[in-house]
Amino acid sequence: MHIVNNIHAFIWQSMTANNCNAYLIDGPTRVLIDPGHRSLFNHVESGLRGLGLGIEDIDLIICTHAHPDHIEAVQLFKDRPAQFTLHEVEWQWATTVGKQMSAALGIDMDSFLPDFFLRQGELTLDGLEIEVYHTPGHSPGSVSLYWPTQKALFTGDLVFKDGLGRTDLPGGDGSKLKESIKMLAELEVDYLLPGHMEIVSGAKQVKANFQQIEKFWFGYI
Amino acid sequence: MGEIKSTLDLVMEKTKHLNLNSEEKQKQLNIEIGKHINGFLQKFQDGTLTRAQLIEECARLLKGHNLSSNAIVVGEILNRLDLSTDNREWMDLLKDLFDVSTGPLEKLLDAYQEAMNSVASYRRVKLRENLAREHHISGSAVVPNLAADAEWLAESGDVRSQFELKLDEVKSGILAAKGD
Repeated sequence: MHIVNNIHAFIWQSMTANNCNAYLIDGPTRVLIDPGHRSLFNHVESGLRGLGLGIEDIDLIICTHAHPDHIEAVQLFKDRPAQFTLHEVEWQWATTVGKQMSAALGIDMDSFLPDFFLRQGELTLDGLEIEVYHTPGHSPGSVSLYWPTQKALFTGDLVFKDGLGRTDLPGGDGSKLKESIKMLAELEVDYLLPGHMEIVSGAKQVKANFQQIEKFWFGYI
Repeated sequence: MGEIKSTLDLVMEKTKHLNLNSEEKQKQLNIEIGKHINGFLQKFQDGTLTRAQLIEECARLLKGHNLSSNAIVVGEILNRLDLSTDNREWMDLLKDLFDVSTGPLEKLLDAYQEAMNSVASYRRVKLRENLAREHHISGSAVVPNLAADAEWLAESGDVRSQFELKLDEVKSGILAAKGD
């Protein structure tokens, strides 16, 4: 699905299997955000094929966090040119406490090796400027990515359309989730691109979504 | 049909003519005492023995074997020193309770940290440069991952090997001074 200019979304729609939404920034550096489950990656691959691309055309994979439904397919990029990154805190967590959680789902974290890590700040990709926000709450090292030029915000599992990320999984933290959401709500966003479910388009709709979440959900976490 | 022998039978048969002289017996005994001490040290590290209890247990053990020197305890503590971990607890024990001059050890461990930090800083700069040059990735959000850098792994391994040799030398010096 084409969102705007260089942003394409591969929205996961099946109700019978859990997987995340993946996004492509088709810039000078091609970025794939959250490739999802390995066994369900054909969903992304066919989307890429539709754009005339293959996985060898991806330059950088950014995982918003290290849960298996976002990260597992990174294994398919082993020995490919793509660089792989996620937040340094998330990696530290995923290879210690979170390792057990991944192992229970049949995923060996030792088979991943980030080429570099992220922390909050500016990420420049061949001239394209992305702002990286450390947004813990769903997991300790979750990140959200903001592309100011397009006013596009990739939130991973922090915030969804009419909802927010779970805080009951290992490393989850309700207070931090609220703080992270409040921080992102300050940004000027035309496209809210979450890790699951539908996209929210339009500045007013995005603002209303943040307000609704704060009003309805914050009392519960 | 051949006789089926138990493991004990086999061991007894093999060691039938084995005799230990007094020196070998003492060496064997020291190994056993060392294992006991190691157990006390582990309990101390795990917080299930206080410092006072550790000293008491070690003293009782040494006295029980008529050993007046605490060189075995010092040796076991020295075995626990590692270049990459926090050794302060062990160093304090050596200094406060066994009258070991830890200056050379501290100097060596500090030098190791300094050497590793220096290599790490250099590699981080190089990795940033490589990311920018080869992949056009840069910015304040980028943190190089040393664990993914073959050159860091090789260089840090070399530094560690060099310092492990030096650490062994310092340990030997301390034990020699203790009369072991």
